[in-house]
Amino acid sequence: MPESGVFFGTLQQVLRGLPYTLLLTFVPLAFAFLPGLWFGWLRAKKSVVGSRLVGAYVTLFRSLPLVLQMLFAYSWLPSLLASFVRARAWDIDVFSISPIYYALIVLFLNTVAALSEVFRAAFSAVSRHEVEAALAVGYKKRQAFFRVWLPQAVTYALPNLASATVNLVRQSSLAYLMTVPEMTARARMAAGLTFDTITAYAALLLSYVVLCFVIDTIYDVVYARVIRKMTGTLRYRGT
Amino acid sequence: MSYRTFDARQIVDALGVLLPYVGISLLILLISTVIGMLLGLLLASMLVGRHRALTLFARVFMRFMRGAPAVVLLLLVFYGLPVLWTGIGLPAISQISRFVAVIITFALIASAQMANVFTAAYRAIPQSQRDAAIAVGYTASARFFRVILPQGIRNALPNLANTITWLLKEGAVAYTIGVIDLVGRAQLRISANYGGFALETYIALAIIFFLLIRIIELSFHFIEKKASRHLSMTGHKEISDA
Repeated sequence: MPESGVFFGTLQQVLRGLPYTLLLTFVPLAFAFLPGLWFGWLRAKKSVVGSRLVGAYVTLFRSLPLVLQMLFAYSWLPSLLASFVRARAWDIDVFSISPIYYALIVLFLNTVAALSEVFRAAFSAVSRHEVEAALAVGYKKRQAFFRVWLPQAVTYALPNLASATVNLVRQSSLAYLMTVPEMTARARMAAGLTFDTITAYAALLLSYVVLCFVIDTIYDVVYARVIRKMTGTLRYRGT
Repeated sequence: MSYRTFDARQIVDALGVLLPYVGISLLILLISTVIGMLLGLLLASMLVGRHRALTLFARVFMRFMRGAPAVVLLLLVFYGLPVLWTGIGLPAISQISRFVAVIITFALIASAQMANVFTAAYRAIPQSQRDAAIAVGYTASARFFRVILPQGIRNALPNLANTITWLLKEGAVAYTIGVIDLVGRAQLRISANYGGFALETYIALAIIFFLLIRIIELSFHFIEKKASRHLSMTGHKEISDA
């Protein structure tokens, strides 16, 4: 059994990658939020062109393993960008661009697909009667959307949003393939240096599990608060 | 700096190289799905059961698996299991087979997902169904096999399809410990070409994955339709007209 000193030393090494893991999680999430919301809305209201296009996009990204997308992007994006830059005779060294941007792009595109599914379900979960009631009391369509439909949809989306966020944390581990120095990459480095592979990966797994637990707990607290506020004002729990 | 040329014929060639490996990827998927379903059923029964300690165990396990990236778990199982093995006094082994490590990892990952699917499917069965089964005098096992299980399976089908396709995608990381499945073979082909035609090989790989997942989804859709025939309104026309 490894000594605790070795374990904590390794854990420290792994946690140096935490900022990158958080970056790879929350930047794609923040950027994908509005496109995901919009796409989900298009699918929920079944606009013909919109939902077909979004549906195709979601199907494409849900049919390809992330590791394949990562490998694909890493072998294709830099050379694509290089030929683009060269055609315009710009003075940029494409191959010195940090690979984290490629990882962020891949995770962003996947998160848009994931969130559009989350919000599609959430928009559909809001009762039609609520929106009709809002229109009946004289709300304009816009007001009904922003004051009745959207707030409830976002509330219903929270548990699935938590899952999407945790999933993103898990997925970000594959950024090590692009040599981004996040937690998995650090653990692999530590394993290579100390030859204590098991300690390194145990520390890594523990870090991920705790991180996801913290994220889940934050979402749970927010969700409980929002629901309490909602039922408090309405004295009615939407189904 | 040289620029790679794109050669569409390489995609066809790569498809030919990769197709025989569909079987290995599907075999890994099948074995880990079956073991995962059995473990998942066990976990689900712990979750809905009345035994507090077992419920807690299942919850903690599922929380744990929720945050565990497949690639990390795979590495830990591959390197850690031999140590654990000797640690509990079994004859020393230096390494477990890569194939076994992949199966164990994805069976574990599948079990947590399957437990979620089964629990949701179980809870979707109306209480009245169970009450009715008791009322007509079914024994506990008859209640389970004739009432709970058939309805539960039908409820679980859509999520089961999702979980299996998800598992196939997660399984793509198996190559990181050197398993020669679809992705592993693709990586071999790329290194055999000294990094050449990587893009074409990945496109071939993407086509195969896309088709596999569509086939799994469509077949589940078909089964679901078959299993829900009795629920369609046309079947109850006389009743609804009456």
